[in-house]
Amino acid sequence: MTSRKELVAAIYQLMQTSTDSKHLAQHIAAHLLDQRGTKEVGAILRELESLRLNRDGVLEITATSAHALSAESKAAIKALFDAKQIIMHEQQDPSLLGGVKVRAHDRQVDYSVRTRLQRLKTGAN
Amino acid sequence: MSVLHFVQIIGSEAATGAGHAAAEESTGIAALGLDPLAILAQAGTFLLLFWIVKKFALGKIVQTLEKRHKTIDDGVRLGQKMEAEQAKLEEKVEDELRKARTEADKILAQASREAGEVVKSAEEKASEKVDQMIADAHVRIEEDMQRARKALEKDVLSMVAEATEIILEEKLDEKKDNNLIQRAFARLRA
Repeated sequence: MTSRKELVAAIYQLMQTSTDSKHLAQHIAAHLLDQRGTKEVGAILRELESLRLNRDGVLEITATSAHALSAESKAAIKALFDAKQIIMHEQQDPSLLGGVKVRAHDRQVDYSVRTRLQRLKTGAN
Repeated sequence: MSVLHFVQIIGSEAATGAGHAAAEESTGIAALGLDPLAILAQAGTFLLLFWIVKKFALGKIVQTLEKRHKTIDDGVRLGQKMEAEQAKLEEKVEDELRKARTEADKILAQASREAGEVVKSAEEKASEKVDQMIADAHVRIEEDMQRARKALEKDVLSMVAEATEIILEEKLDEKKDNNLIQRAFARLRA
């Protein structure tokens, strides 16, 4: 049985060589099901992101906002992170009311109006 | 023959002799009805009787009388002594009573003083307790006020948040939202 670190390294190698990312994802999922390691998917993805950032300088972030982000907003968000290449995945969630919630592999920045209002209600700053 | 018997005989002979003399001559003293021999005999008898009494009985009588006198004197002295003792005893009793009264007065005064102190102490304790209760009540009231203030503040904040949410839902469009995001990140970088 391979360790999580070895598995992450192997996935990283495959990602470098493979062109069919969907096929690769299916293979990885099958392997995790076979090894009964589906509970570790989150940890594996975080380690993979960390490995990519360290080796290639690539950082994937997810920005969730109530409205579509403008180019200026995206630039402002990317400026928060220090990486060669930042890949931003955008999601829209009207329940946030406004602002943005950004998640990187080891960091989360929450500037959503919903969270601010929630903090106001609970008395937290 | 005893002395008494001898005296009686002499007395009897003298009387008889006197009778004979009186019968023979009734002149001089006899003419007055007095017989000098009889008088002499009676005087001798008296003196003899006196001597006998003095010799054999008077000493004992005097001794008995002195003894009785001494007994009476002793009794009188004892009575006087007892009276003196009684007086002393009464004085002593009076003295003891006086002392007892003084002691009782002292005890009463002490008891009164102690009772006063106990009452004073109880009053002070009660006063302290009341002060403590008032202080506790103040603390509780302050705590209740703080809780009420916080609850009110929370309610107000909640209402403000809900009102803000409603307003933002209506007023915050895409452009304003992006401006908001840019301003927030600009503040973060600064």
